[in-house]
Amino acid sequence: MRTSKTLTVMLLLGWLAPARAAEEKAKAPAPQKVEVRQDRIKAIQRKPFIKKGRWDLSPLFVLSLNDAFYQKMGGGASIAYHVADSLGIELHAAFVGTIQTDMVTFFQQANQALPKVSQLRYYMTLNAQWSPLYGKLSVFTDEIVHFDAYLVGGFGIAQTETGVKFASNVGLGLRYFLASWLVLKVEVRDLIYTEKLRLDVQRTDFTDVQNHVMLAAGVSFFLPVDFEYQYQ
Amino acid sequence: MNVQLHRRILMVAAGVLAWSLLVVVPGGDAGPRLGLAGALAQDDFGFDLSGEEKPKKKKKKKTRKRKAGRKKAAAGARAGKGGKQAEEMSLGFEALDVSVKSPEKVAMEKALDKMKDRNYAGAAAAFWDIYNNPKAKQYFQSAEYQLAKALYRLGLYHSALWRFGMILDKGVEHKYFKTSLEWLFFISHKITDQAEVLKDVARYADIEFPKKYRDEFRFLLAKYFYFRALEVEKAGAPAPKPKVKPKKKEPAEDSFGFDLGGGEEAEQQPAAQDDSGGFGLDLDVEKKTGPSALPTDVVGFLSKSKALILQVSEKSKFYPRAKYLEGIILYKQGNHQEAVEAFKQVVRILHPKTGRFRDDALRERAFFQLARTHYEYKQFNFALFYYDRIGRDSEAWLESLFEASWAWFRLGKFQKALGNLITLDSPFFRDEYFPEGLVLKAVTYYENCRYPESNQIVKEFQERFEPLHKELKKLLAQASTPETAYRQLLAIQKAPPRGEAGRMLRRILKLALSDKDLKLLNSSVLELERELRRIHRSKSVFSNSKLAKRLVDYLNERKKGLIKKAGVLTKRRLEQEREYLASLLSQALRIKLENDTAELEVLKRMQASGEEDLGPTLLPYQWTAATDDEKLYWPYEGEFWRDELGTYEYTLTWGCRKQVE
Repeated sequence: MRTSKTLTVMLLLGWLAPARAAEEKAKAPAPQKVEVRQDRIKAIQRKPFIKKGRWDLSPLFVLSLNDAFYQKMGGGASIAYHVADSLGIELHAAFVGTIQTDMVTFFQQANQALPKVSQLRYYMTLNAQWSPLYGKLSVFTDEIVHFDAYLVGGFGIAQTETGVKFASNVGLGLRYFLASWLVLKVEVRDLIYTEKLRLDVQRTDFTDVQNHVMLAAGVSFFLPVDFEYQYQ
Repeated sequence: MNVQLHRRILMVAAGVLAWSLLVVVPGGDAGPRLGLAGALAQDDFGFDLSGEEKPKKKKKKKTRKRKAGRKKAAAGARAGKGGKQAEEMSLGFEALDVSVKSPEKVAMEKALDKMKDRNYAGAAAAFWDIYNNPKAKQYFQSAEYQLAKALYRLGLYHSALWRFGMILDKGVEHKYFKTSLEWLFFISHKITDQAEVLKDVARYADIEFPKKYRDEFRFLLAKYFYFRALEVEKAGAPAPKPKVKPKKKEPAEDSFGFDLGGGEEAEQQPAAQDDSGGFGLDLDVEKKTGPSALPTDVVGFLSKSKALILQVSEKSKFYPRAKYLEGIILYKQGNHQEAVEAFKQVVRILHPKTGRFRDDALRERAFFQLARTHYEYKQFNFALFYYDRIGRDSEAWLESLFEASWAWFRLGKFQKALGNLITLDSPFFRDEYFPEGLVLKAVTYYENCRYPESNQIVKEFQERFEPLHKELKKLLAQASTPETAYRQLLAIQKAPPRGEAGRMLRRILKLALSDKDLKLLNSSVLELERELRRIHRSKSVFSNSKLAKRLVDYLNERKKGLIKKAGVLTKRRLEQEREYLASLLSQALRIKLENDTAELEVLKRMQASGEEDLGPTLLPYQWTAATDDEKLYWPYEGEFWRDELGTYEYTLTWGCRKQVE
C-alpha cells in the first residue's frame, strides 16, 4: 500500500516537476570563490538509459477520462522502435469495454434527449513519439530516477458498434526508467474519430467528432535488455 | 625305516607348524582363541595379560571412530567407552585388563582424547605439558604438532602460526613438516597479513604443493617476493640472508623437545591421515621438501616472483591476479610495453561479457595502471580513455578523477580539468584530501591570464593548508619515537582535534592509515589484541596454564614488534605528507609570484604609455549546452547531485589562450 501511495506521489511529482527536479541533499556553496568573469559550470552526464535502436513492448491498462456517461476501460499494448533516442515509431492498440454510468439514466429521464452513441470497441494507431524533455527525481533519499516526457501522435482505426472509423490520436506521456530494460509508463492520449449519432426523440442522425481522452499506464520492456554506449 | 622316519619327521614338522600357526593366529580376526601363547601382548612393556583381547579392542575402537564421525565424536567416544567396558565385563576380562602404560603415553592418549572431544583448550594445555616433559621424548613431535592444531581450533591463529612456524624451523626432518607447511597456508586465509605466513612458507617455495592449492600458493608467494623486492629496494641494501634455522637448543622453559625430538617416535602415522582437520590434502604429490635459497637483491626477488607467476595455470582463478602482478613487475623492471600488454590482457580476461573470469575491482586497477603508464608517456588521450573506465564505485575513482584533471590540463582542456576539481571539492568528499587540486586550479587560471582569480585561489590554498602543515610539524615534533607517532595517530583518530585544523588533520590521518602496509600492520595489531583477550577469557584450565602464559608473552612481544614497525611507517608517512605539503605551499608561492610579476608588468606598461589597460587580451570562450545523443545537460546552480559527480565541466568564459577543440 505504501508503495502504491509512493508511486502515485512519484507520478504526480513527475508530471509537475520541471526538467530539473528535487534537490539533492547536499547543498554547498559555489566552489568558485574567486572573482569570476561569468564563468559557468555545467554537468554533462551520460544518459542512464539509451532507447536508440531498441524495441519497447508495453502491455497497458487504459481508462477513459472524459466521458461521464460511458466509462471505458480495457487493456492494450504498444510496440515501439526507437530510431533515435528522442524519436520512436509506435504501434498502439487497445480493446475497451463500456460501462454505462447512472448519469445516462438520469439524463434520459430528465431530458429524454440523450443521443444514442455507438460505443468504441477497439482502436489501433500508428504513431510517432518525440521525447524532447527529460528530468530526474530524488526518491527515497538515495535513489535517483530519471524520466522523460514524450509527445505522441498518429493515425489509425477505431472500431465502434457501427463499424471501422478512420481515427487519429495525440497525446503525451512520461517514462520513468527503472532499470536498463524496464520502464514505467503513463500517458494520456486523445483518440479522435467521427461518428454518426442519433437523437431518440427527433429520430435524426448527425455526425460528430468523438474525443476519447484515454489514460494508459503500464510497464515497458525494452529489448535488447542491455545497451552499450557508442560515444565516449 | 628311513621312509618311516621321514614320515614321522614330516608329521612332527606339520604338527609344529600347525601349532605355531594356531598360536600366531589369535592376533588375527577370525582365528581360534587358544590361550596363553597369545597372552604375550603387543604392548612394549609386556604387562598386558589380556593380550589376546587387545587387537580386538583396537579394531573396535577404529570401527567406532569411523562410525561416530567427527561431529558426534564426543558423544560417540563416551558411548563407546561404556560399551567397551560392558563387553569386557561380560567376557570376564576386566580383571585381567591391568595394563601398565608409561605415564607419558597415558598423558598423550588423554590429550588426544581431549582433541577428539573437541576440548581444544584442555588438549592444548596437555600437549604443552607433554612437549615440555623431557621423559616424553618420543611424543615431542606429535605433541608439538597437535598443540599447534589445537591452537588453530581455538581460533588463536597467531599462536598457531608461531607453533607451526617452529615445526618448519626444524626442517624436513620433522615428521609433521609437510602438514605444518599446509596448515600455515590455511592460517594465511585466517589472518589479515598474509606476509606473516608467507615469510615462513617462502623458504620452501620450490615445494610442489597439492594441486588444489598450487596456483594460489604460487601467486601468493610471487606477491610476497615482489613486496620483498620493494622492501629491499627501500632499504637500499641486500635483504638479510634467508633464515634457515639450524637445529639448536631453545630456551629451556618451552622447548625441551626441540633438540631432543629428532628421534623416531613410536607412533608412526602418515601426516595426512593424522590430520583430523579434514582438509584432505594429498601430500603424495610433494616432491621436494628442502628449503630453497632465497634471493638477496631486488633483481633476484623480482625474477623469483616472475618465475612463480609463469607457473600459475591460465585456468586458475588466480591467473588474472598473477597477470596483473606480472604487469607490475614488468613495469618495475622497465619493460613498459610488455607491462601494458599484461594489463591489457587482464582487462580482456576480466571483460564482464567475454572474459573468462569476473573481477571488476582488479579490472579497474589494470585500467588505472594503463592510464598512468600512458600518462607517463604523454599519451594523454589514451590516459583519459583508461581513467574514464574506472567506475564511480571504485575506491580509486577520486584518485582517477584527480589524475585525469592533470591529463586534461596537459591537453589544454582546462574546462574539463577544473570540472573534475569541482567534484573533488564537493560536500560528498569533504573528508578527502587533494590539496594539489587547488594548485592545479591556480595554475589553470594563471595559464589563462586570469591573475586576480589565480591569486585568490592561492590565498585560499594557503588559508586551508598552512595551518595543517603547522599541525603536522607539531605532531611530528611531539613524536619522539616512531611508536609515539603511531599511538598519537590512533589517539587523534579516536578524539580528533576540533576546528578546521582538526578536520584537516583527520584527513591526513585517514590518508596515513590508507597506506596499505600500515593498514595491514594496524589490522594485525588489532588481531593480536583480540587473540590476547580470547586467551584471558578462555577456560581456567587454559588461561591459567603455563602455555597461556607463554602465548601471552609471545603475543605481547609480537604486538610490540608490530607497533614499532607501524610507528616507523606512520612517521615516514607523516613526514612524506609534511614534505609534500611544504612543496605545494612553495609552489603556491611561486604561482603567486608569477601572477604578481605579470600584473606588475601591466602596471609598468600602463605607467610608461599612459594607457589604461595593456593587460593580456581576454578572449570570450564559447559556451554551449549542446551534447551528443547519449548525454544529458544539467546546469550547475550551486547544488550537487550525487549522480552528476565526475561530470562537471567548468567553462572559463574568458581567457587569453586559444581554445582547444
